[in-house]
Amino acid sequence: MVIGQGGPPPISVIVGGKRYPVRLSAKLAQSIASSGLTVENIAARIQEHVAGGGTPRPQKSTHRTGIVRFGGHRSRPKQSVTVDAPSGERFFARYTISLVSLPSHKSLQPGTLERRLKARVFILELSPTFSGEKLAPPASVVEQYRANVFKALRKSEEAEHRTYLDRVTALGESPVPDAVALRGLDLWRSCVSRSPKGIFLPVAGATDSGHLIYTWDAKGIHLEAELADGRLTEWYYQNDKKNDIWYENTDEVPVLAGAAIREIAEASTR
Amino acid sequence: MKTTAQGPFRDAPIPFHDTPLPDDLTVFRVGSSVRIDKETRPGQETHIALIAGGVVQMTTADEKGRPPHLSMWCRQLTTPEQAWLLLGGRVTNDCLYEFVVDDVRAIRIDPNKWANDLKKFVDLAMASANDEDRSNFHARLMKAVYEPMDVRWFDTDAKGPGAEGHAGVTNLDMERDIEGVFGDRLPEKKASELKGIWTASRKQLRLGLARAASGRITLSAPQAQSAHEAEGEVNVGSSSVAH
Repeated sequence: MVIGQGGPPPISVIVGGKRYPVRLSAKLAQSIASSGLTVENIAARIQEHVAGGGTPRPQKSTHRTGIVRFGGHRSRPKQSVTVDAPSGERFFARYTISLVSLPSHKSLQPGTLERRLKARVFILELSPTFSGEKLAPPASVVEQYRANVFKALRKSEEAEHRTYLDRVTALGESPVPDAVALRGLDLWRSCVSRSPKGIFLPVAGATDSGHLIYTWDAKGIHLEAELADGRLTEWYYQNDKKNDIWYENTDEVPVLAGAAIREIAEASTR
Repeated sequence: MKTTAQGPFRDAPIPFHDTPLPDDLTVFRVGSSVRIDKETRPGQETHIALIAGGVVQMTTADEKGRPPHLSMWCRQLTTPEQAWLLLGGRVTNDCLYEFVVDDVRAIRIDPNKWANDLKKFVDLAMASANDEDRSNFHARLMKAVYEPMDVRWFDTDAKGPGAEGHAGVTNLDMERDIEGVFGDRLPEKKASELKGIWTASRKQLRLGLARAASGRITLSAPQAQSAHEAEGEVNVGSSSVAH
């Protein structure tokens, strides 16, 4: 499907059994269409290689030696490391890292879909392999990339969240008060800094009464924070498997909430 | 007014104000995706959209109902398009969530989790009710705390085809009543603690209700518009009409 006609179509990429929808702005869709690329191509390529080539291969042949190059920016000399990795990972090591190298929050704006998408995949799929022995690029380099990607993604996500908050404070009926939106942004930042991998974000919503609600939820574990004007933030946690509930009314992020976010993030990737 | 498979009201339930709906009917609530951020966030499921978007929270108009109720529409008497028009035909009302009546009634506060907290809540509230008729007060409080949610018919001010299918979920949230219970008779810290217990127990009910939602259908404005044209002019209720 060549996009850019009749509005951007919904596409998604499945990584690790989870579906990651990708939304394109009309401008980006037009830009991709004019470049001859199709969104489905991009998604299919990523999908195929996440799955290790799409075709089952003998275990022995799925491990090949490849070269991962880090750096490449004029201010940072290239470094090469020989790694032994499954072909799918090698693909990502080669493509993702080269494309996501030295990201900035500007380079990850919605106008650069491929980088953004691959940055997500990089974090979701490749990060764990770097801690293994088989993939052993210099730890400092990996950390630098990881930190860059996290920082850039957070800035980009925060910019998106600010846009959302601007939108709900301008709703015609029952808008969210500015003071609540500001508290919401603080809470969002605090919670994101507590989330593992830096990209496990809450779903935010506004109620008809002008309240803001942030929700984390996966596999029967639920955490929510409700912000309303003139009231303390209401935290509520429920874990059905452990038959556990706690609640607290405070504008701080409770210690238990940080633990809950990590717990839910883990559950969501299981 | 419970129906069976052979019951007389199965195909045409007859709504009477403030009477329960038959167990096997389906009700739906209209919501708005505009209020939800990252609507397509990975892993997001229907119930998260309901919680985040406040779909299972009563609006101001809902709270003013007597008794307060989360406004719904009975699928068997009101079509989504009719509900959309009765709610004012707003383009932003673009989501529809369905609930089976029996499922809603089955939602309970977990007694093992809340028994002690709620007993403390009731005891303290009773102790603070010096000036009230204790028996009435106690009955009201016990109803608010322990009575499960119900789905009942409620008349609506909105006029037009499908208006007779208006219903509501009761006993979901009586926060204002509860605040009124305490007044300034309790120390601020104690009142805050008790309100916390109350609020959290309501959140458990809301989460249960959100999880009972059987699906989500996106209402399209043009589709509703065509219904509008087909049915002629509809007198839309005032802006106080609840969702």
